[in-house]
Amino acid sequence: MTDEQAILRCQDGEREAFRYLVERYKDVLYGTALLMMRNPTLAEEQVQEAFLAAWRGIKGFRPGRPFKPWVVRILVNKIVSLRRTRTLPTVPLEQQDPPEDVPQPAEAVEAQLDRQAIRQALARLTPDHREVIVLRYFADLTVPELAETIGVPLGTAKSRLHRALGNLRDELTTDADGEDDGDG
Amino acid sequence: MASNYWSDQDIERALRQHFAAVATDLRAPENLWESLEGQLEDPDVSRGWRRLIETIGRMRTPLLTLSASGAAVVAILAILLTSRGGGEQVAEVMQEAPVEKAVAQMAQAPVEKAEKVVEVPVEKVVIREAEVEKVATPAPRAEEPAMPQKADEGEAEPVVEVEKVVEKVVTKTVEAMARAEQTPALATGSAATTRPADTPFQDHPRHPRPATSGTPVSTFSLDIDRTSYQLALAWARQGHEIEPDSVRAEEWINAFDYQYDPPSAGWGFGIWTDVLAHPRVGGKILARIGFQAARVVDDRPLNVTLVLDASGSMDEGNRVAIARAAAEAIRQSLRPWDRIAVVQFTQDVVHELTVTHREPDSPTVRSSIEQLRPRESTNVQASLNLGVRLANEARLERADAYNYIVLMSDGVANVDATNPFAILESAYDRDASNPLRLITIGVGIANYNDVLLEQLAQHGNGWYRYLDDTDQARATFSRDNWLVLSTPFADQTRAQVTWDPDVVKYWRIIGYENRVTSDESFAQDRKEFAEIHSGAATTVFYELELHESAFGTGDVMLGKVELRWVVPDTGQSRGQQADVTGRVDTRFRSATDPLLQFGAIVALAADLYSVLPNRYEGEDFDPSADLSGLAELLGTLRGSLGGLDAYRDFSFLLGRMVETAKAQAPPSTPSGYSP
Repeated sequence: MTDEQAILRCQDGEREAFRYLVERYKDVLYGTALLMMRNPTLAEEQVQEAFLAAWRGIKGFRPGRPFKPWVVRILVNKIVSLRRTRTLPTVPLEQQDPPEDVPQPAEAVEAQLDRQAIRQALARLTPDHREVIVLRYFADLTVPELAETIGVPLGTAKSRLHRALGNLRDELTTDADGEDDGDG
Repeated sequence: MASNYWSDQDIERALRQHFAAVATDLRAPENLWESLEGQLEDPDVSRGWRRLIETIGRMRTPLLTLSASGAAVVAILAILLTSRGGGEQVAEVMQEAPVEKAVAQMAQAPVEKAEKVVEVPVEKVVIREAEVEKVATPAPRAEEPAMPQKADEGEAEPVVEVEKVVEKVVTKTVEAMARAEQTPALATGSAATTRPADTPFQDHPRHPRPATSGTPVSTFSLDIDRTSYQLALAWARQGHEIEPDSVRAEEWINAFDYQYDPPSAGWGFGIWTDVLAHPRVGGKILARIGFQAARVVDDRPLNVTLVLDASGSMDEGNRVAIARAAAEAIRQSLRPWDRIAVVQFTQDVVHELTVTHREPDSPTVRSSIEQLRPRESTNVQASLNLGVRLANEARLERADAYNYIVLMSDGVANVDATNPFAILESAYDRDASNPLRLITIGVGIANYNDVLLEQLAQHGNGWYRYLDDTDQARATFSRDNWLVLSTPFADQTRAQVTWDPDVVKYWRIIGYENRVTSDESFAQDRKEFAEIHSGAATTVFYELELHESAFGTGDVMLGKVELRWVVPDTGQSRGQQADVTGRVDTRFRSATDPLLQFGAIVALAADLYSVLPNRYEGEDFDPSADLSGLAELLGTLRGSLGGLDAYRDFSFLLGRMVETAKAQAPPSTPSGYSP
């Protein structure tokens, strides 16, 4: 079944078709929510809310358009809305220990170091910048989809992403410098 | 790659690798669907269908008395809306040609033109889907997907769903018929006398007629609103009877331009007084006092916060289009040094469309305004809270700017606080030195809360306007008009008239029922008094009875009028006084200023109509005769004013008022003769 077929069937009220969409996109939604909110409980709640809203609004969805950006947008709106109404308790992901019980080859260790650096640098970005990076490189939205999702013009989305990457680079460079200094 | 140089490609690659690696840690709980499934409700019926049902529900004319074609159109629309896959197409078609309008036109079709009314048996309205598709389904557009096919066989026969839909139509129709039986207007076939649903107004009793010897002082807040008149005109144009409670005479009076001269002193207000005989009651005179604010140029920047209603009720008619046109006109009228923010609201603030203050030509602002569309229920409180917060932040950033919050809504608040005072309390502005000014812009006919919008503006340092169509929206907020409207001239403006007891025996203020205030409050600067913009004019009429000794030739001093206000940019209190004088022997028809005569007719007609039908209880004269007399007098002004749109509009309105008053008049006393 394609997304489009599933959507049409959802519009007829078929729950099984909606289940197909939920199973297909729940990981990307949950991951996005977790990366943005850094709180697993709240992330799950918001993903559920987003899917419920999508179900309620599915009759108004135009078949033929991609489902993922639409549902991601619903999710992001919910998260932003929540963020504006209260301060969210977070569990810093960067402090979660990566699995280390499996022996790794040297290149894997280097990659692991990169990922650790990335994780720490991501954690230091502003929520806006972390949001565009998560949506672009984790949720894999195109830049136009990203723009639509966060409700800004295409040019603004491009420049925000560019600035986010620039800041991430600064953070990574600072990390590396810090390590060098420390080593020296 | 653990080095100190990261190219763009390195970062992008590392990000993708990073996210791929942590993906397993970011997986959703396995049982997500199970916990979700129990919460799923049936998806919403399509918006178009809901609108149709609501429209039929509101109709006072039963479906069965529509013409056959009208009934068929309603039935076909209903079926199309729920036909599989066709809903969105039809909803689009309906947006282009709103079904309410079509149905309303059918409902209002004069009976004499509907001689061929056919009683359509309800059960025959059921049209099988195949027939509908053959007859009425528009051909799919090339870019749109083909009709979906259900994969599963054994689904409920589609026609069953169709029949359910028609059953709903029938149910609603029967309800409408039941209501119709209770509606006398329908029994006579009067097509244009229905009252739009859910339109609360507040009835304010007319002021008494105090004796000057005991009560010589009259104190009131000025008022530059004219919404009551604009609403009545919109109602009448759509064939509705004007609701007497909606008539606030001062807003009718102030809807017109009496062409007062600017203040001769070059500052403050021009205060102009005139007197002429009452046209309908011998021995009484009318005194008109006009206040004309000076026109000033002020380059102070503006912080404008648009608070736009995107709730479901805005889906009716062209409300959203009007609000969008008004918002865009305001944006285009702003200067480069002004700032504008947008808040859209339904049951909550639509955060993704919220734009904080930025330049008027910002694409984000344009985009937010363009995306205004109706959604769910209405939370005026939450949106005004956010509007006030944003406006306050902008005020703190730019202390030299004037601050406007422009609320565009039909006033149908149904989430959180729905009472104007509770809403204002919640969004209270505590900085009186540079106040936030709340302008309310009303749109819509049915489902319209005049009371809420009027009170919000009155107690929110602002003013209230009604917009009937997109052209009016653009004209009202054209650059020239906006420059005037957005330049505050006088805040907390109130007037006090002290009549001379030796000359005036009795006095009565016409209108201003909810603007009259205690005499003691005149000395106080209060938020609920009127905010007057640059160049604005406002007028009050009094009905007076004079002592016989006062009648003579030449100007007679009737009393004094004093005005007080707060200067917006300095916060200083100012005052101004003038004598109320005029020739009390001026007969109505011999007055030299036709605009004075016109204003008097407007004032008296609004005043008479606002108390219908209670006027008949225990009163010894017939307001319909008075209204007819006023209409005749208005006719005598055609030569001098007939070229004005304002004259033509009011003539039309007065004609309708006369019809209503006659229809409501009690049967005449039996003569005693056999027929």
